[in-house]
Amino acid sequence: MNLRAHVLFATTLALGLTALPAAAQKLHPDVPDEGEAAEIYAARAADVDPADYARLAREGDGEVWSCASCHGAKGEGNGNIPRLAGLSAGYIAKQLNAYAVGLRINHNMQYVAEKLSQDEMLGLARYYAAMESPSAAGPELGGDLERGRELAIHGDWDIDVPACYSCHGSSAWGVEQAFPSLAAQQPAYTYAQLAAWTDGRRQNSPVQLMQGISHALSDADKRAVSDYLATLPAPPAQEAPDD
Amino acid sequence: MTDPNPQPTRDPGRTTGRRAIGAAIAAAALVAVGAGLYALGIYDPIAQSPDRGTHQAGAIELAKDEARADHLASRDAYTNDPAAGPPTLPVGQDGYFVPRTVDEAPDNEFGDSVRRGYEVFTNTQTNASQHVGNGMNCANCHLGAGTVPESAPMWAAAVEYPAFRGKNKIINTMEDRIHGCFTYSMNAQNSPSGTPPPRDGDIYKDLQSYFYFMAEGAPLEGNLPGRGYPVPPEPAQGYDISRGEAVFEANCAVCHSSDGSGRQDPNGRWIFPALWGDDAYNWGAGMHRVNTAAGFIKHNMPLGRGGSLTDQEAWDVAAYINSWERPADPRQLRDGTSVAETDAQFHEHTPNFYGDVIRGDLLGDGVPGEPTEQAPSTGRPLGEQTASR
Ligand code: HEC
Ligand code: HEC
Repeated sequence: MNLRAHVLFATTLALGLTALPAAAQKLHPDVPDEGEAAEIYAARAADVDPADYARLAREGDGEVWSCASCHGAKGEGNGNIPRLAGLSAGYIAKQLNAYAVGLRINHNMQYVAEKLSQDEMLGLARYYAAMESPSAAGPELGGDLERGRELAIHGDWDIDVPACYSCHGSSAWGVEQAFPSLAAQQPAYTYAQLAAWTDGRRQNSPVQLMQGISHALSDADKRAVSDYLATLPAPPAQEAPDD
Repeated sequence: MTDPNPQPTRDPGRTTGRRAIGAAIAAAALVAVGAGLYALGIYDPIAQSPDRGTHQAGAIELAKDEARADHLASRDAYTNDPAAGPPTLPVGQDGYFVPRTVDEAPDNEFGDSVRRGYEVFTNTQTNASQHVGNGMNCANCHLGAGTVPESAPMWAAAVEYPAFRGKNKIINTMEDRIHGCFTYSMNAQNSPSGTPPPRDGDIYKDLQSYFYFMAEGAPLEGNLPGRGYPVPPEPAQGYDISRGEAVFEANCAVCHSSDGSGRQDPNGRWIFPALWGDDAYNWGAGMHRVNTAAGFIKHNMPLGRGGSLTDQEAWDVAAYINSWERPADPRQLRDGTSVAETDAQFHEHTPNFYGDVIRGDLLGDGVPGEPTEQAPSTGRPLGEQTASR
């Protein structure tokens, strides 16, 4: 066996091992399994009183900036900073935990999330889930709204992309804990997430669903669907989770 | 193959053992690098979608439009002059038949019927609500509004009826077939009217208009590729409920929920249909067979990631979802027979769990629980029984 044969053998072995699909999707030892995370956090959040965390959200606390300073007083978001109002508590808490352990990458959010206690994350998650505020979003990426609507309502089976609505609900207001509302979301944010799943900067998504879909969507499709979703009426307040 | 960079000298001092160690170290290093790359998601494009992410969608669509246009032109030429030869079959880049889509339906009475049929098919819960006794829509099992190949597409079905069917041993028209889907897949026995749509009614006419319209250009009895749910070969290890449970938890529960009951959105609409229990298809539906469900799942689930499960996983998870209680087989209620008799009459020749005792529960009597607690002969639809307890 010469050196090239060694390398060939080793490469084959390495590829073989790393390509093994992870049976259950456990991305980090400190956070629950992908498929269950949102429901687990929602159940934990049931005992937390969101009113206790309203001040933290509005005014911050020492090193922790207020959420409102970036996400807006009504949790409506702005530019590539997402709307939080009306997202499910389980989904928000899951993302805060993902930032805290470095599983989702965003300098500002990692800085904040690292300083939050578990109860603070759960309380803030419920605070924003219960918030009902009008849309502050609109198309801004020059996307083709007709194509965006088509993708949202019917998907495109030629490229194996199901309708957004087939998982995010008939008004894109989300489904229970794991599937977030997309309606009235800031288009630059939605677009940035689809791009991040495509190039691997964002990892978390149950059964790697969003990775698959993001790869299939062209850049133009990503703009189109992000812009279209921004035109939809904002979600109502989420019902309080029960444990 | 010639080697542009031949190895100039080989180190004669190297023993086989040292080479093996070298290989092992190199392998370990590459594994580490590979694992790092994998964690970065860099393999995802390879693993998931080989050559997409650009403007594939547009190109595929264009090719389909061209195939349809060619077909129509050659059809017209043939109508005008038989010497022009038969029309071409409209097929896309993937080789599958290209159906007409509902937005091409004409602006006349027939087009109206096509559009109504599409609405019934995709939103059966609302548009045929009197005859639906669970949480299902036709399009839940026939994806893309009945257009997706290997998801029992309606353009392939439309040209295959009337046909003799072993299931009821008579000639079945398309109306009979739809009647059957309401009876079993949509569990009409538990619907507000208690029955499938009345024979010869508009629901049948509109659904058939929609299917017929889609299938324009398909050869009669063409047995087109993509018809039905092609069943992957049964694996050597057979199928196993407990292996299937692990597959289910890792790949399905996030959408269909751990207890298989599905999920609704804030508008109360079913988004993830139930796989077992009250709101699912009943024991007479084709999907209760392990082989049929394995075919559907292999090609279509997890939604958007069809084809990602192995044949073994598809069979195992198909077994798992069909090992739970669901609404009774309507033929049992119709005939007043016991589960055992119904089993012998209708469930003998396919792989399924009807009439088996699993987790201490007799499957088929429509009620979860101890087999001994059950009424011995006839069952009733699940909803009624639980309501009266
Ligand atoms: C629970 C899943 C399910 C639902 C819901 C469902 N079907 Fe089906 N359908 C099936 C299965 C399974 C088959 C059999 C496919 C096979 O054996 O290859 C089938 C077959 C058919 C066929 C024949 C296909 C062929 O190629 O011969 C037609 C037509 C059909 N269904 C129409 C409908 C209509 C109309 C509705 C709604 C009223 C409906 N189905 C709802 C599962 C379903
Ligand atoms: C991303 C969410 C998602 C995942 C994950 C998923 N499904 Fe589904 N499934 C759906 C949706 C949505 C439908 C209905 C399709 C439609 O209406 O377009 C469906 C339909 C079905 C159906 C036919 C309808 C019914 O209720 O009987 C079966 C069976 C099924 N899925 C089984 C599975 C199995 C088994 C798995 C895991 C291998 C799985 N699904 C994973 C979303 C999902």
